[in-house]
Amino acid sequence: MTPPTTLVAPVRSGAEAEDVSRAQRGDLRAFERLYRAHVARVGGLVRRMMGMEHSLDVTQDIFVRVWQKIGTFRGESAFGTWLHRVAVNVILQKRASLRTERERFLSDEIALETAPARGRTDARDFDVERAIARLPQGARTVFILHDVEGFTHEEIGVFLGVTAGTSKAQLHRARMILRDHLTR
Amino acid sequence: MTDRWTDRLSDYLDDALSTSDRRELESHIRDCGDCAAALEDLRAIVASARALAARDVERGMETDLWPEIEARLRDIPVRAVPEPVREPWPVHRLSFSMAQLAAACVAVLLLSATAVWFAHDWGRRETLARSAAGGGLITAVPATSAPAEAAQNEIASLKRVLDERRDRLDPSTLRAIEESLAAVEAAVEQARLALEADPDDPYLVAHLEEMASRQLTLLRRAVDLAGGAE
Repeated sequence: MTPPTTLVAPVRSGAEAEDVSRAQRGDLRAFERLYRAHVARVGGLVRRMMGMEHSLDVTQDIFVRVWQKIGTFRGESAFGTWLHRVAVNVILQKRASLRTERERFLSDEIALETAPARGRTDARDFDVERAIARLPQGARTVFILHDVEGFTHEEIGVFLGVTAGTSKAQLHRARMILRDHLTR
Repeated sequence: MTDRWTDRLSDYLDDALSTSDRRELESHIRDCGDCAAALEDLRAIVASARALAARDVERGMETDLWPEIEARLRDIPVRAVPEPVREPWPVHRLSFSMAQLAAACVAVLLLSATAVWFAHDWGRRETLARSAAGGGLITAVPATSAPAEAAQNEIASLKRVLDERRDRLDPSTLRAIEESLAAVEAAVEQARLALEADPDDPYLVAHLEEMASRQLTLLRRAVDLAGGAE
């Protein structure tokens, strides 16, 4: 099973490229179209990484940052891929300001052990969203970035300042915790 | 349930096992019900996770954040990015009119002139650099490492020369050169303005250098074409 190859909806032909070009020259209407095309995916990423409490504020911050940095987008990757990288960086910075990310990544406790037990549930019906929210932060971060967003372990390592091996270990840990929850 | 394969199940799912390990694990799974069940559960979890992104798009965003974002953006100075610089001469043609063939000839002439110039000028710069370093081997100095005063003087001088010799150039060639120069000059100006607004941005610094270098190169080519420096 290989990771998903697209982080976002496929590039919207030349129209998106044109909007990017216009936004780079200060066209707010073009940037609004980019916002509307990507906000649902970005909002989902923020909600899973930050929780509901900060999701709207951080989603706003992301698009403000994208506006500030859009001039540096050189088209070397899909715009959506670039945007999601900016988003992850904003999210991690925000979280770091709330708590030292690295400390949590290495030492957090297994939150699911205190989660309410549930009967055996078919994996396909499993409420993965709720279970993800209860994962320890380090495992949750890697699970979201890898399994939901499609980043590689190498990319995740760069984001988090850890090795790809640590990212792999956290991913397996996350999946096994989710499985434990599933089979209770 | 744990055995030596349990911690390899994610690697297996992610196609990160060597061929021999993969075969061994697959053989193990045929005999180990626990590992087979775990693998099936993990596979379902990964599939569910991947479906979340598509579900985000289907659901959309409940709250429209754009009005607040737009209000914030209006307070942020636009970091202008120059229009893409037109290449001086088109290079992708499937059929050619007489005018296009003439333009192609001009392009070949320009390329030749540029190659000659580079061969000549690069050698001269390396010689100067070696002299400055006491004869030691150092990297050649870039033609325009910054929009320095010397470069600006050279640009002004080349413009004067080109203006004096415009009648030596074919009108269509002159038009192509002038259009290209106008595009490059506009790009330089936009980059300069953007850099004024954000002097510490390394991208803008590099961009301005690149545009200034293109302007200088183009002017040198044009002067060469009009008879070279005298």
